[in-house]
Amino acid sequence: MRILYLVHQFFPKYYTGTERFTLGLAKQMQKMGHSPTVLTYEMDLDEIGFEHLVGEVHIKPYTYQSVPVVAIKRMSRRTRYQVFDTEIEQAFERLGLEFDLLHVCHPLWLGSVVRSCKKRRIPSVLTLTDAWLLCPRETLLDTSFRLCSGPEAGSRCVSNCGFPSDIRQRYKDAMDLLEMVNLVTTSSHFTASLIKRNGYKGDVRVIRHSIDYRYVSRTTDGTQKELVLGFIGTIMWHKGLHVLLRAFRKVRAPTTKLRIYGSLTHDPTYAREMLEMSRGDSRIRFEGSFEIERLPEIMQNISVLVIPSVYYENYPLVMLAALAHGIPVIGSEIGGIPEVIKHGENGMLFEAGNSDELALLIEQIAERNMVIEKLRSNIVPPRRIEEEALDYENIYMKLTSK
Amino acid sequence: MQESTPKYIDKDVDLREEGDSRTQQVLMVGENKKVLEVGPASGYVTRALRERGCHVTCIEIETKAARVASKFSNKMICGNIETLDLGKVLRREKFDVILFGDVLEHLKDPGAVLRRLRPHLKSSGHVVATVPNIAHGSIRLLLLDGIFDSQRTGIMDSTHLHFYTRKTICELFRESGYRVQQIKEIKVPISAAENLKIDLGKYPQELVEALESDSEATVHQFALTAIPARMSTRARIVSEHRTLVTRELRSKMSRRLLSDPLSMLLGLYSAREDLQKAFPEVRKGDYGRLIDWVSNVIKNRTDAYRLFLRHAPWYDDNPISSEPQLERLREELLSRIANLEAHSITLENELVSQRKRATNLENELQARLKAAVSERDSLSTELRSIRDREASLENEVARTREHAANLENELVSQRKHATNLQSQLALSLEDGLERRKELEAAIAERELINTSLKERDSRIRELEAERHSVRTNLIYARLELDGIKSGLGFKIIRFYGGIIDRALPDGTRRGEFKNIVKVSLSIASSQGIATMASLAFEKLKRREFRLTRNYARLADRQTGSSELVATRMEGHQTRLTVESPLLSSTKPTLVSRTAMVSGWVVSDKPIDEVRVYLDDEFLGLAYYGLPRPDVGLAFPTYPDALHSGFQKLIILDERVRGQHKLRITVQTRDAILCEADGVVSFEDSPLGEFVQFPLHETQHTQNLNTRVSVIILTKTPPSDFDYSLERIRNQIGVSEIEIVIISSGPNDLSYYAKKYGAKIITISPSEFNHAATRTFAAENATGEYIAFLVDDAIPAGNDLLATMVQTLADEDVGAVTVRQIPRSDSDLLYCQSMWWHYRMLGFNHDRIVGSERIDELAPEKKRAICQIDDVCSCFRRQTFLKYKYAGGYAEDLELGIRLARGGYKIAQLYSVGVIHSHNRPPSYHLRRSYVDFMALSRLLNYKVLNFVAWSVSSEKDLFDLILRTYSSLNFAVDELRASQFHGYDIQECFKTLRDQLQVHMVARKTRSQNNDLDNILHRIGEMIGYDGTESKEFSQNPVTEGYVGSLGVFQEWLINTHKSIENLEEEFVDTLYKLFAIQVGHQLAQFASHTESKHREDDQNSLGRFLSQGI
Repeated sequence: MRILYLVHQFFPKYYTGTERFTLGLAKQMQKMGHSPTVLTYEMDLDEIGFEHLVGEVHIKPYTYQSVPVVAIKRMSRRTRYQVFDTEIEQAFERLGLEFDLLHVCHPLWLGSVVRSCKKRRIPSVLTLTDAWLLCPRETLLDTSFRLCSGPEAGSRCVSNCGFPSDIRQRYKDAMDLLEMVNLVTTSSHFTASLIKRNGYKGDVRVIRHSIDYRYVSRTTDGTQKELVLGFIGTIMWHKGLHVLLRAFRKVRAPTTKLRIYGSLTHDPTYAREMLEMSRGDSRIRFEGSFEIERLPEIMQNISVLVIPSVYYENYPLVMLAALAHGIPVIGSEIGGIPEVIKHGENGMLFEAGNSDELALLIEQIAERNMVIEKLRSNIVPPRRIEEEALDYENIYMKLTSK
Repeated sequence: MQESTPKYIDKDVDLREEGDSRTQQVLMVGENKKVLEVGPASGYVTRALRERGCHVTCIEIETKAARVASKFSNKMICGNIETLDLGKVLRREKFDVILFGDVLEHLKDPGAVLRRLRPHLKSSGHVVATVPNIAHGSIRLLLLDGIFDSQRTGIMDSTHLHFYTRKTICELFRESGYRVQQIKEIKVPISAAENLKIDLGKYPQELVEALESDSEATVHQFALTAIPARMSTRARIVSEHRTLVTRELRSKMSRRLLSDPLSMLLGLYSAREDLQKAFPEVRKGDYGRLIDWVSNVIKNRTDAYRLFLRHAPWYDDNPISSEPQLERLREELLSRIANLEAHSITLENELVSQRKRATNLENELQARLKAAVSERDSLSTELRSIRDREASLENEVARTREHAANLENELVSQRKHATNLQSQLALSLEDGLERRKELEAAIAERELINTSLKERDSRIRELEAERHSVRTNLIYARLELDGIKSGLGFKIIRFYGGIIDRALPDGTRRGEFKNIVKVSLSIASSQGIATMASLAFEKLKRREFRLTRNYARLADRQTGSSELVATRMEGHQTRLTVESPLLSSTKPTLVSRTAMVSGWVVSDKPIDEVRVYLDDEFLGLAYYGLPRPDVGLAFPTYPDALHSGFQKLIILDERVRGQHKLRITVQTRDAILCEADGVVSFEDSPLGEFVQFPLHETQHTQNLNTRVSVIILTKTPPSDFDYSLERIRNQIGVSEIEIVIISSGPNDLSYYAKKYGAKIITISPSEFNHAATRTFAAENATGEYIAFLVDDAIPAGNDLLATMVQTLADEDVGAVTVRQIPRSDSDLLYCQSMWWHYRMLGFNHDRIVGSERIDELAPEKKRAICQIDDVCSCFRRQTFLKYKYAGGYAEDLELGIRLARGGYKIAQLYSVGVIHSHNRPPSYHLRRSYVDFMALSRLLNYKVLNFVAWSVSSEKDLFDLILRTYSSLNFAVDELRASQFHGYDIQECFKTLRDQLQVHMVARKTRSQNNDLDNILHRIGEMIGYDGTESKEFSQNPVTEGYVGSLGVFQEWLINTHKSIENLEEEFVDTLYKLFAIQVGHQLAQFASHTESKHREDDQNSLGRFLSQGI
């Protein structure tokens, strides 16, 4: 089966959770005898190696880890929240890619491809990995960093975030897009109910994300002498590193350490604040960004992973990676996190943003080594990429056999 | 040396006029001398000197004067004596006399000039200088009048830089290393002093007299001679001190000695004190010697005095009347002298140590000098390189100039062109002017239309504003509701959360309990809110929006939440309202890390900016100009009232909690129009509107009330065995799972028994048999259903067991088998063989298959129907024990055939599966393919190749053909690598492979980079006694044909799944060798079955046993 994966950005330049999900799925599909192609978008106008296709659109075909990729670039600045783009649609049709099924892993920039496939009656699946379709700011956080439960058909975007009133059209476009695909899937019940609550009438199937166990090696025996907390993720406000730092500074445990993995370049102002917050505390160490191959080594270095997000997390892959490595997770009780982390079983939960509560939890595990051991022994390793691929393959087969 | 307009005395020197300073100069120089004259002006003195036989070299600053004077001088140097390089212009010339005629007072640093010229003075030579006396009576009188004006000539010449008295001129010479020998005074009466016009009559008679009695007051100029001091500076100073002191003492003592000895002593002491005061820089050691000398003098004088007394008894005034008194006095003096002597010794010692230090310092200085010299050398080399660079730069400059000239020429031609264009332009301009007139008429018309349009626009705006206000009111109502909602709900939830936390200890699943409470509370509160909302809506509906009341309502809102500041200045009025956060309020505003400051402001003066200050720190400008239709309606007379809103997002960082002073100022570019401030109090609220979504309860499929035994065979448990067992344990949909592990290896598996409650059955490795061992395990299992799993298979999904068991609900189904999903790290070979295998079987969907005439079917069809894969299969225990596994290898297929014969159907499920694959070396594939073929040909009656037709008569023949193919493959791989895999083009790569394989190689290349394959081929060669010598001719090569066939399958799969082999090159080559290994095994097996019919079973050679090992 020829499958076209659509994703807003892709390796090797971009490597967040959605890209990893797309790559993992495409590669496993190859193993299972299918022919995947990734169609992606390049937003950096200065990126080289592109050839002209039509109008403003340029393309660059390449292979990433045996997966064929086509990157599209439009030579003008666009707003990130626009759902459809006629020029992209025309260019896609000109591109003449042949495939039996479309799987949208993220519809940003390339949403019009869905419209084109609908016209050509090519079946399609859309996986919601974040709240972009609902929120033009992508995070469901308003301008003063407060959580928002949804756009209310765009009126909230106008009132809370100061968007012009034509943002309502975007909401309609997003809903149209959802209607166009044959099946909407997501990895958390949270996101499923979020999208339904905000006006999507169709069915949303929950297919849990998974882990490629090639990048997992459980060599730790769990008898670490010192407690090392880990933070792995982009250092941006919504990921909540400030909550963790605030909590950690309150904890007076001299042997407890905190290691922070993640690029400091996404939001340099925030990153500087974080460095400022941790100044003078030798227990805290910033380790910078890392390659996926180093994940087992990083997981070996930490005893607990903290996910202090203050926005609606869908189903963080790093949480699964930690569990796959047998590392308990302390997470905000927000979004899809509590669907995996059960308080006192395989990790702990605290009220999102509440650094006092987090500090209490850290103190609790710092004082009693047994707590970690207990949590560790209760961890059920998350499922494998092969299983997720099987779920999707069954869906693909059903859709194409219609 | 004059520096301004020359003011020369244009009169010849007359040696008879002694009052003329120039006469003195000439006389003091003497006759037939070699003279250096500094500042000769027009050369009058020079001329007189030449007449007296002198050889005169002149240095003059003024070019004009130098030209005149050069007529008289022997040599004329024109230049500034202070800056001239004397070494260059005078070389090593030495002079008898150096003459400064009225020059020193004009120099900036006369001392330096004197010192620099000293080397040019012969040791017997002297300096002659004349300088004006500033202490002349006329100057003194003028100073009394407060006048110190400069004049064109004379003492107060405007170009004088220094003013000397007798004392200071002497000091100048002394300090410059000269000793003044002779000073002559050139006198001019006070009243006659040049052009100063002193009227003596206007001064008191006594003053004038006192002045005139002072001999210095009439000295107009000093003419002096000086010789170079020969002593060291310090010695000279000391000697000068000595002279001075002597003189002083002499004068003091000569006056006092005669009066009384006591006064003399006092004089001596005061003299000493005076000395110390006068020369603080003189060293104490020197004083010692000085005092030595002085005391000698005193001693002599005292003796003399005593003599004097003895011989002059008539001296009446003598206060020392008796000898003893004198004696006492003398004793006293002597003791004092002794003290002084002791002191002088200590001072001397000190001098010695100081000298040592000086020597050290000198040494150090020399070392530094050396360093400086080396530095100079390096600098000079650097200088050389810089010069070289300079030269190259000069060349470049020349080139650039040339280029510039070219450009200039071009410019000229361009200008000509421009002039042409200009004339053309002028013509078209005229044309354009006419058209403009036409346009102007059209514009006037358009303006008329515009005004009417504007009128319509303003009308529309009014209407829109009205609509906006209504809508805004609605939004406010909704916001109010939201506030109530979040405030109420949150408080309750937090309150109960706290209670639960305190009440329930750890580990009591407090989190879940809390969630339940939260959910029920949120439902309860949302119901309450719904009631409240409907009430509010009713209220809203009743409310009438009268436009006239807008202002009143605005004010209403203000009273609660913000304050209105109105200012009137210079006839202007401004109104400012801060709506958020609440100023001067005790109720805290809930904020996260940031807060929004918002409000509106109107003024009849244009507003330029709205500034926001927090705790008096300027945070920035607010964004002003946001639409505020409500304000526009309330204040229609103000301009911009419709867009009077402002907003500023402020970042609070760490200072969130607590009270802060917030100030907002509204300003034009240079004045503050209006200002509002107050205390705001913030409280940290990390969450805004937090929506708790109900936790999803996993929908369990209804549990089948049955026990399933999962039987796993293992020798050495794989690394992720734990993971597999975990997944089995977590299967849902069946009420009980029994895990039975059969171990034929040495490992202790009690860990698994403990952790997963597994039943462990250990057998010895020799007892192991694919069929019998599985059957044995099934007999020991207790479940109604039994599922067989290999130890490295992982169930995909947690409903695998349930699905299989449910499928077996159909009594016709005898066995369920599921699909294998390659692991994410599996190699290309495994993926492509599974794909090919399932394609061969037509297995790409869930199916339940069976046939009543199973034995009549073709082998492939038979295999497709009877396929059971014991990587994962499931049976009713009863059925299984009835049939059991039998035979050896391929026991699963064998059982499938028997089940089919028994009328059972087999369920083959494609939508569920196990994750399973191996990455094995070529040698394994070779053996495996041998064993597979042997088993399958027996079970399915495969037809074998007719080797006779291929003229292959022995194993050696076959092996020779194998090596030929292998050799071609090795050459092909080399070529692929050399061509860099044809740009990763799949088709091209396979074309090369096929082309190369068809070529019969003369040269043999039976070693590849694949050691594993090399080794097993070598072993096989050894076993069949192949020595490589016999090489007969074959028309065709069945090995190559078979291999090319399998390459075709590989190519098809690769094209189906990949677009290129980029990043896969090595894996691609690996796969080629593994495929070859499979082909070798296959061929060997075919040949073995071909000869089996001829030979007896146990004759089956040792090769067969070797190849069956470990499979």
